[in-house]
Amino acid sequence: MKQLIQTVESHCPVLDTLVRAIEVTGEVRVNGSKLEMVKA
Amino acid sequence: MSQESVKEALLATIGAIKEKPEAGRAVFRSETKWISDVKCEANIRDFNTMTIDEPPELGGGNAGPNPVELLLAALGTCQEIMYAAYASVMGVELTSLKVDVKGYLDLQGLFLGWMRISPPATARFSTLLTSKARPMPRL
Repeated sequence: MKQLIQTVESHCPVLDTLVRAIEVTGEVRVNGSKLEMVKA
Repeated sequence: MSQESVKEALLATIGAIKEKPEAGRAVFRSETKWISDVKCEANIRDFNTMTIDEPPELGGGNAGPNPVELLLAALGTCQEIMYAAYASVMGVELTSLKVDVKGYLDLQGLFLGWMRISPPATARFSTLLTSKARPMPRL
């Protein structure tokens, strides 16, 4: 059971996404034109 | 489906990925659309359209869960699916599994952050998993 818990905790993709900063890329289009974004 | 059929399906997929590593790369997709006020719709594959909304305190009509609640549900169900999948492969019989996920949000940061009064919204999630399991009997 301990091995099962350790395996899940280290492999759950949603948990991994939440605890580790992942790259999120984005693009904004307004009225068909791409808007240049300033990073926060 | 049973734990045995889940194990068969997973072992077949693991075998296919071992043989062809690029088969392990997956893209999941969701299309969302703003409807009105703070109500939105989400479409995923051919499933029924999901309505996403906020409670009245946050300007919504309470027509569906909000995005943070969807994230909590994603975390809880992902943990359950991973437990079910690995338990099947490892030979552990699960008889019950439940995850209670809570999300704590600082609304002060959410709404006042843009006026630079406080930092952006900070969130903390906590999970409580309860299960009943035992080793699978050997046939």
